[in-house]
Amino acid sequence: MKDVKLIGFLLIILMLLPFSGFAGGQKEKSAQGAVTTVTASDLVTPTHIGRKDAPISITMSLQPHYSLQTSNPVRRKYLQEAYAEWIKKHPDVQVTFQMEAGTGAMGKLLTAVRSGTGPDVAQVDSFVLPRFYDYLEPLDSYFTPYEISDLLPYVKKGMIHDGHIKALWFTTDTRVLYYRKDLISTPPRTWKDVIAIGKKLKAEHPDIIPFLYPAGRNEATIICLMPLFWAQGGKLVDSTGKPVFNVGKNREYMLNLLNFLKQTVETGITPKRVATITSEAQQNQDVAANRVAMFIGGNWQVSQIKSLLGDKGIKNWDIALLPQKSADIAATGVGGWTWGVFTKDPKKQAAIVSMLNYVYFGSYGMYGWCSHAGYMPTRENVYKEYTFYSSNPWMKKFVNIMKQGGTPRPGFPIYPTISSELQVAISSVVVGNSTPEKALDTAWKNVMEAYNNMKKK
Amino acid sequence: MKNGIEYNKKQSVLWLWVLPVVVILLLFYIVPIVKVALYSFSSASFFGDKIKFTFRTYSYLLSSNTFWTMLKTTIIFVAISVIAQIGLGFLIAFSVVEGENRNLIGPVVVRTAVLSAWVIPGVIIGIIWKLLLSNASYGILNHYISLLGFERVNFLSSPTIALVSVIIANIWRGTAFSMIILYGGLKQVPAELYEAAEIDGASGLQRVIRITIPQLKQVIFINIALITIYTFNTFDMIMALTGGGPGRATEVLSIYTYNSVFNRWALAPGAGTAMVLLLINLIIVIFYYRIMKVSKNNE
Repeated sequence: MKDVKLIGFLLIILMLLPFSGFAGGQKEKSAQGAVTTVTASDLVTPTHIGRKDAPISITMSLQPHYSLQTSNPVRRKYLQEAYAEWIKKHPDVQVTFQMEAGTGAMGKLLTAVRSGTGPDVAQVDSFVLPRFYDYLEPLDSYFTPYEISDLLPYVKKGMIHDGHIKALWFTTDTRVLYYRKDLISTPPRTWKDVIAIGKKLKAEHPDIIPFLYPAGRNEATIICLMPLFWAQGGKLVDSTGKPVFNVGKNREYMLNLLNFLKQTVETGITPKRVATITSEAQQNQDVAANRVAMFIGGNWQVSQIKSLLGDKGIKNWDIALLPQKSADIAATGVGGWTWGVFTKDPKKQAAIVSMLNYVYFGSYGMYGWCSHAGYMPTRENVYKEYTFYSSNPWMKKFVNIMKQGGTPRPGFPIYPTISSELQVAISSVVVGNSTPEKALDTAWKNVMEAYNNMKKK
Repeated sequence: MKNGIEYNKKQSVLWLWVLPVVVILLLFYIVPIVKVALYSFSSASFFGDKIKFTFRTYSYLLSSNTFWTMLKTTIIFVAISVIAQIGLGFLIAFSVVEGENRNLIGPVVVRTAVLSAWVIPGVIIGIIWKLLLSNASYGILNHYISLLGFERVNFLSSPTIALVSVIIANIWRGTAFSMIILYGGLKQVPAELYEAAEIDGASGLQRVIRITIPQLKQVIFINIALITIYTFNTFDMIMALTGGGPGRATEVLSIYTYNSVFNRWALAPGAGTAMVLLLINLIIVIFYYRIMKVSKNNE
């Protein structure tokens, strides 16, 4: 009997062993599946940098493709070198990386931060940054005004809250109109131009889709199409975060947008299947097949199109401002990622800022990361000082477009609901399931229900 | 007394063996369900600090047109999927059994081919059907439709057709499970019953209606219960295929819950919808256990 009890007890221990991390030696597995045995001399591994006995221990939460666990060899090489150089100069620091994976990563981060179990520093999406302001530590003492003077205007505005630097915005992106130069001599500036050029293309080249854009159930739809609302002067929310997109002039602007989208489908220049396009990159398939003349996409697609079509093929393409209701207005959707510091420990803060400047945010660090990773820097001086950017004609155009009304999404709590409902509205209008008025009114009703429910709590 | 002591010792040893499973069930099943239930009766959100107990989440959900539209879509999706899966599963299983009985070549191949659809992950099935049904240049079905001279069909961008497309994809995926369950049931039907019926002059159809289906009653009910639960919980395939669009045309309960929590950051309403799904599944599970009990009593 005693033997049976002992066996049972041992079985329980055996079953719990995998959870204890005890495995006869500290082994770590990278995202690529490579298992390395970490010794004291390994200063840079996919999950940790620095000596394990270093007194300043930092936890850093970030996206896998921004980390040493990225599957992209160019990015990984840059990060390995940059982190190795920095950690050698800072032997008293060790950093443990935690991956932010999957949808809902920002929600999970916010929950952790609110409960006091968050990391010391984390990568925060720029459009949810305002939700983290109350928890982010000010970093003013680590930067002189000169050191942040070259940041793009909307970047600086987003980073600074109540006069304090609350985050380090280190990459950005923008949406533009891509068009085929061999089919379109002058890119459309207004919606009327889009329809006219589209109709002409449809008549002359029946097998080519004149105009594409994301209109599916995804955030890409909003960031690509809302600039056509913002440029008119439209606002999704007021300064307190209350939805206003269906109030007063805003309703007129939103209906203008929805009617334009409806017109693109009714005239046949845009297929209904745009309601299934949920990311900018999904349009690359039509680009690769040479079946599209114009589309709304993101700056990163230049390198993707180049890899699909080659150097010769990319020469047929150019970019322009997003078409607007009238030629005298402009806007584009901008995004990007920031670093937010949550730890109150000044030693940790100093180490974190030093590391982030070296690898991602300082002038040279930003150039290094963005040029290797294919992102757009947030410092204007980087575009001027480094030939990778200054001699790249695409970059000059992107920066020029970003400067003309680069608009980040509002970071208020109701925004995700507004975005979700407007995605449904746009999708419904495009497939002809709803009129613009009905779609907008339904979206408004659902948003206000959610807003009022939120306010009552 | 000696037997009583031995019985108590056996009980305590049995508990020791069961304990790890109980701990795992508690940690990974019961605790999360209780947590979600608590969230659904609270004002929990990703943004607010104070959490209060409230029924407001349920009153908000039940008064929302969107919620009822989504529920209607879910019921249509489940009802048609279940009926078609049972029907097709029975037809295929019956054909395979008849083929085996007649020593025909091919039943094993048919069985394997149908089962192969079941082993493919849901996300992959969604992607496969997206490639098949898309109206883009890579859309396989539309390519052949246009070769035949017809106009391309908006399988995924027309609200009604998109729902039909999702249902067909789900039927394709789930028929195998019904087939294998009913195949097992058909194999248990005594051959003597068919022989006796044949002697009495019963036609093929009469034998199916009067013998096969009554003999399979328990199996069919159990099958209905199981595939109804699976279909209500379908998420991966629909997410990959349509994401709930166009508009809300294919947004079922599971997709709505996901969108509530991760896209709208509405924690309490998302939890409430998850509890509705749990309640539906519980009702079906109770139905399943009643069938099993009746089946056991009949043996």
